[in-house]
Amino acid sequence: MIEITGLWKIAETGTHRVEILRGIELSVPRGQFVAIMGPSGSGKSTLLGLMAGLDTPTSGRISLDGTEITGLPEDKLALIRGQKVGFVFQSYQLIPTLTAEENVLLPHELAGANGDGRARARELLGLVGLADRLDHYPVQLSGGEQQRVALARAFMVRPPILMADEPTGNLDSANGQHVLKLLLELNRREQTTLVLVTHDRELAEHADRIVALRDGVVVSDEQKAALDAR
Amino acid sequence: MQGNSFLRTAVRIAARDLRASPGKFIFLVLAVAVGVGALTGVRSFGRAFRTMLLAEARTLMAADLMARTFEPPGAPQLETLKDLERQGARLTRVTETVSMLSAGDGVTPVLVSLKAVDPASYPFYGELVLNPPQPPRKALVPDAVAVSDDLLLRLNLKTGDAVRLGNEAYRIAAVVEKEPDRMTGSLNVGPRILMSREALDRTGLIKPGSRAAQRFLFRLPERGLTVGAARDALKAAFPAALISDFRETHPLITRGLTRAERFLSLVSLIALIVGALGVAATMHSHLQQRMDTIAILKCIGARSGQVMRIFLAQAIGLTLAGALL
Repeated sequence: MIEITGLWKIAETGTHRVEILRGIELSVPRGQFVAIMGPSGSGKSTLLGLMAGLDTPTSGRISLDGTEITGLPEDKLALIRGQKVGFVFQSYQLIPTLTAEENVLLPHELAGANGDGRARARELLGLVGLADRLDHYPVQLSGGEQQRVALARAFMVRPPILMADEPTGNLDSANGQHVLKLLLELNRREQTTLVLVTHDRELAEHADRIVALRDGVVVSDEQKAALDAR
Repeated sequence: MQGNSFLRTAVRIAARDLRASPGKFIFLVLAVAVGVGALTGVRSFGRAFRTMLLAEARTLMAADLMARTFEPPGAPQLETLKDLERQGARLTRVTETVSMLSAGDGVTPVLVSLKAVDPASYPFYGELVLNPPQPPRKALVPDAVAVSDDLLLRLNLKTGDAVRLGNEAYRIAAVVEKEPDRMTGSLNVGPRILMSREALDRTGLIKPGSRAAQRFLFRLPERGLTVGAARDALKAAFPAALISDFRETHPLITRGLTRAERFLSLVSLIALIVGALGVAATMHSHLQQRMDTIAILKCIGARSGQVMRIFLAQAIGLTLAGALL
């Protein structure tokens, strides 16, 4: 589903040259839930951004669902994002001027998909327990509720891949647990390949596989079986 | 796959975005409205100014169209004048000449500009103001004249006194305070003496060979006969005459009008630029505030074209609303 080979990302700012990612190799099969862990500055968010085509690598290749995305023009990337990737961010990133329902509906509308989409938007909002908050604007929702709207939005167009960057990072533990539970439920239901970036070990424990990064290189890659055995 | 069909979606998304904060958008719409208003304001001010200048130009000529000749009109020329009158134009004749005026024995006669008008129809535009105030028709009887005040000062005369022109005596009925076509007149040497045509005939000054200017003043009908057509007819009948219409009355006025127009079009241009800058700045700040939204949109799969369409729809909508206001 996701194939990464020889991925380098080097940031150069005048006199400074920072090697953020140094030759990452990663292959994620369909339906796997992989957690990418590492301390801040290890390059995990950069890796996620590259996987989503939000950023361009210095060298190396990335393919999503059989499509090579490195070197594609911005509009092609956007199209692939719209079709193949759902996003959940740490800071929700809902559009403040749209209601919960409209935010969820947006990927569907941008994809120009057929049909109203409203029924699915309502169904998803129902699944995350916000059936009665359809008309609320993001500011009228709590952080946990906003993140649940973001979850519904991420699953709206049934993307084969879901990427989540510290989805519970801004939430208290109860809300974080709730969001995580919903994320895993939706993931199972929709059969998505899930890439979760976190520095929270407890969160990562739920994954099929944990990839640890440090200073831009993969330092460990453990499958669930191995984790369980330990 | 979604060229045009997305346009409706774009409009819908744009509209939702506007609906969320109506207060701010009313402000934006007002800003656009003020910009557009300023522009059209300057435009209509310019138009009004031009109309006013043109009206004044008519006043400075006391007519729409004028022909001046130094020869009395012959039969074919009189026919042309009649023909123009038949087409709805009104005609009044002004005769101007210079003569000597004496105020009695022992006083040196002075050179004066005589101007004979038909007080019943003159002037077509503007006003002939006399002091003491009275209608020209009352003042300009065959044995009276109206004079400019410099004559009174020069000859130490006052209203009511008698003066001699040619062989006849005239009473000074009034002082000419304001005379609309003074600037376009000819033979303006010496103080002005204004009189009726009958009074001029009494002087016996106009004989074959006299140096006198004949001016034919026309007021053209609202519709039908155009300035150009009347002008052409006059030009054909009076090849030697000086023909001018209100659009070019006097070089000074014409130049002023051109200059005023140039200035006002410059002002409108500046207003246009300032207005456009204002609208652009407002839209720019609006888009700046939407940068996060745009970033999110792109993250969830919006292509540049789609983002463009959403915000273009918004910009057009707001501008239209502002312009309509």
